[in-house]
Amino acid sequence: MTPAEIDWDEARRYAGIKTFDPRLEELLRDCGRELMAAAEPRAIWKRMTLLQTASGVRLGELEFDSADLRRHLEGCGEAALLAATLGVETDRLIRRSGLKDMSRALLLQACAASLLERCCDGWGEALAAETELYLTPRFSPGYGDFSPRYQRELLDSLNAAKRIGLTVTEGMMLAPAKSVTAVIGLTDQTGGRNGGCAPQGCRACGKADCQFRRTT
Amino acid sequence: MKITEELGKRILFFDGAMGTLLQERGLAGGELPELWNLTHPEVIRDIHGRYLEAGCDILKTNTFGANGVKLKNCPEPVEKVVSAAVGLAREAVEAAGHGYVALDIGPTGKLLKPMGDLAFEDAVEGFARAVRAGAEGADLILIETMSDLYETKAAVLAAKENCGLPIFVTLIFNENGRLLTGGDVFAAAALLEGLGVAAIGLNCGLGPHQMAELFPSLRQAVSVPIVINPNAGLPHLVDGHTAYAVGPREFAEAMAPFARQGAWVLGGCCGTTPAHLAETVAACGTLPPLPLEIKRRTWVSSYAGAVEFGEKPVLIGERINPTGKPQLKKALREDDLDYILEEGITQQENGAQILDVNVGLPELNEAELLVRLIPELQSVVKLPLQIDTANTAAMAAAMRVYNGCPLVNSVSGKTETMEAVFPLVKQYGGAVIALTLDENGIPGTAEERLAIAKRIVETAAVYGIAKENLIFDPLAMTISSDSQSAQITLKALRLIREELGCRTSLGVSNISFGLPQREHINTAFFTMAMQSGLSAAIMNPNSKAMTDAYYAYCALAGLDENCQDYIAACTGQAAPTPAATACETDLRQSIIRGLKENARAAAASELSHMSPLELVSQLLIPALDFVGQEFEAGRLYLPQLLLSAEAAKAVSELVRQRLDAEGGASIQPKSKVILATVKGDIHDIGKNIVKVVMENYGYQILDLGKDVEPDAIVEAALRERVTLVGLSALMTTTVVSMEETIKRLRKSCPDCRVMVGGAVLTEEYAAAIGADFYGKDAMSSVRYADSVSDVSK
Repeated sequence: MTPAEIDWDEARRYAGIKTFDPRLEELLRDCGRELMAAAEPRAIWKRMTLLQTASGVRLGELEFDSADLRRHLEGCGEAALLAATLGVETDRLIRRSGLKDMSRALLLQACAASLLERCCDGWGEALAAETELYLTPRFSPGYGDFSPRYQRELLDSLNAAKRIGLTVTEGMMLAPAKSVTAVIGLTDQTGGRNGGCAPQGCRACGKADCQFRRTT
Repeated sequence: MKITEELGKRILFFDGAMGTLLQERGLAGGELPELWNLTHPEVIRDIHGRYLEAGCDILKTNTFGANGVKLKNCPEPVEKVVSAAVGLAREAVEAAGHGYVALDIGPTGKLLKPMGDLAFEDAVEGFARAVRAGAEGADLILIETMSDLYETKAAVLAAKENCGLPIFVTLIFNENGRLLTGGDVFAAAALLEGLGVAAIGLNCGLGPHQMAELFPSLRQAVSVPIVINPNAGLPHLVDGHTAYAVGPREFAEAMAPFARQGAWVLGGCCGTTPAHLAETVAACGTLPPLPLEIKRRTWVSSYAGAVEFGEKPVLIGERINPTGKPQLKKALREDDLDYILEEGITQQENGAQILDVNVGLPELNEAELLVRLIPELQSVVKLPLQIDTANTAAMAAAMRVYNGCPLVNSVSGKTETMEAVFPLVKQYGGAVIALTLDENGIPGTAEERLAIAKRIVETAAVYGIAKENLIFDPLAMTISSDSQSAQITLKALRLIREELGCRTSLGVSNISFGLPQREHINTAFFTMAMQSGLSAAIMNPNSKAMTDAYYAYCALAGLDENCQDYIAACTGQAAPTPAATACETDLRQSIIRGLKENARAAAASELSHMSPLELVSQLLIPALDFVGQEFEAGRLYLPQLLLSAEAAKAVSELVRQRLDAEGGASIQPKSKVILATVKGDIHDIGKNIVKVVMENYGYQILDLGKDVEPDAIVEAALRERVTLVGLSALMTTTVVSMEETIKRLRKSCPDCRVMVGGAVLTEEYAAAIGADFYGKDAMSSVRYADSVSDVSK
């Protein structure tokens, strides 16, 4: 897999920049360079058998109560668990920047979010190539009724703390902060690829006033 | 025989994997392997027996995850699991008639504060429970598969403080020779040798071939015996299961070079079996262990790397020390840790290699403050810290919580000081600055200072502290009171270096005390001291003259290959800051466009013809109002709002300085507002953005930080009599603590308003948990605060 890069359109969107401004662009690109030097993207994934249950799904030994996740994985016979992180040095960089210059911290944060998404896309492609199956979009704890309380089991099942240094706090937050866990449905039906058979993450989410909500 | 007696006489062998074999015997995914000590004791005993039959010497107990943190929710107590596991290994050893039992300690699976939420002492206690339960039947402690040096330190302290067994530590490095949390083998060696572990090595993560790449640097870093416990190659998936490709014969062939190159203990990790170990014993059992290479380095470390005191002088930044710094004193009194962290970051950016940390003010609880400050500082600065305090209780607490092998400032020839400090160095490791003074004060001659240094070396030896852990400061005294004092200090430097072979350090700036243009004297003296063999200087890295002198000296002294550092330092100075390139001179425009340097310059020029208060009311506030309106109208974006805030802050600082200098009027701040990220929530960027913007609009912010207990917020609200509290929470799981905090605030401070914000919140959700106001962004918080203070007027 070729190293992922920041998607600048996405980074602008995360930073709340709606029109092009040369000075902001220069700062954003500078933050992007600093982030790329600090970030250590790492991921692990695991294929698991998928069973529908009355209230959700069973993935290997894991059981998730979530109607939204179940709907998301409809038509998939298998799913993959993914855990990914940009590493603890990214957190340190954002903290450090926030102390000296909050605008920089905000832009770094946006670059990090974009980089992480792009990395996940890349790992998704690797997973698709490895399995020769189609993938649903990533569905993460916290989307819809898929409770963040499942983070721990999900990470334990992947042995994520040991393998990529990704842990979860008592409050079910991922640490390092710039990290993602997700369930990805695997299917041999062409419609499943990249959003065909399942609702987008945004549509499953109840926060209707979110400024980052995708309407398309 | 004790294992330490046998170590080095012949190559010793750890066993191989436990988990891999348990899976073969039916351990299901998601099942805790440690519980098999209770449910399937015969299986565990049998696996141990097979490894002993294969010729292994040391059994790892089946207790990898058996610590108080990881087994928190397990139905069986840690103690029961551990003592059963040790008992099984002991039985296997007795049945076989040979072997040692290593109490195996693996990681907690949590990230320690402040990057995660596990408190350092909770980690220590979690490990201590395993040690107390298992030490009695064990011959050694093996702390393994560690990928974070801070957590490793917690585990080593737990072992050290709860048993007298030798401690072996093996770490999991990636192929680039770094731990997941960033440290390298040198950082690991400095920390662990400082703590007094008996052996250091590698395990897991990599196979023997990949470990071979890391072995030379490990051997270069480490002075104690080396352990190599690789996986049977890199993991890959076969039918959804993790598999390892390196077979027993290949494994053994790859292990032999480690023994030939100096490793004393060999074994296996994931994927290795009794067959792998039998082959390894056959291939390596008769190889003679090479003698250890004792390095005798003077070094300290942080989580990220080690700094060695060698030929090239080390720069120790002196700016975190309240002496003569009113701003820092103020920050310390107001508990403004952010100001201190900024001082640290600036010095790091300016080339400091170690940071001195002194927070000694008579009215402060130094121990408590250092314990809070050091982890925070280490979350933003990668440099090692020098713990600078005369308070030994504070020194002990700081050394304990420090992530790395600390530098301590200081000990002296006074018996009482040595009795207090040396046991701490023995306990926590590290190097100590030793001042050449004693009960009779500072001697007037270099020879007498050398004599004190000799006495300090001898006393340290009694405590088991080698002289390389001492860095002598022969004390720079101002030349304004004795014109010979610089010469005496320089001579003492040379004597200590030549006669004792010890490293030296000086607080350089003292030399010019009482003189004008002190920098002139300081830089000349600094160069003279380096020429006399100075190993480290406590100095101001923000002084360009001092760093210029340093880089020039190193280039001239042949300590800077190809003059790289010198050239880099010169190039770095020439680079323009991106924000300063636009040429705006108008104050209003500079603030609106967020040009900090320009705003500062424009404000300085405005102040030549208008008063500071006029500037605030006629220029600063209207500019900020404009920015706020533009943001609310969607014509300016959040990064621009923050850039404007930074620019306005620079102007406000200038105004404040001017007002302080005039000593007359001052700006009446708006009311005080408490901001906090609630209990369980560790994401604070949103709260910090609100803080920056509200401060800009004149509010005094009391920032309680993140992961704040509800009661701490209530207590602060009562103490400070605030009328507004802002709470932030990121996730549904932490909104629960937000709701709880609001409940308690309502009960104890019924007059206090609560505004909330955070990713998952909406107006309805905020109302449902009882908040007075939902802030959708930073500006809306300002507007709400304005409306609340209008009402209260």
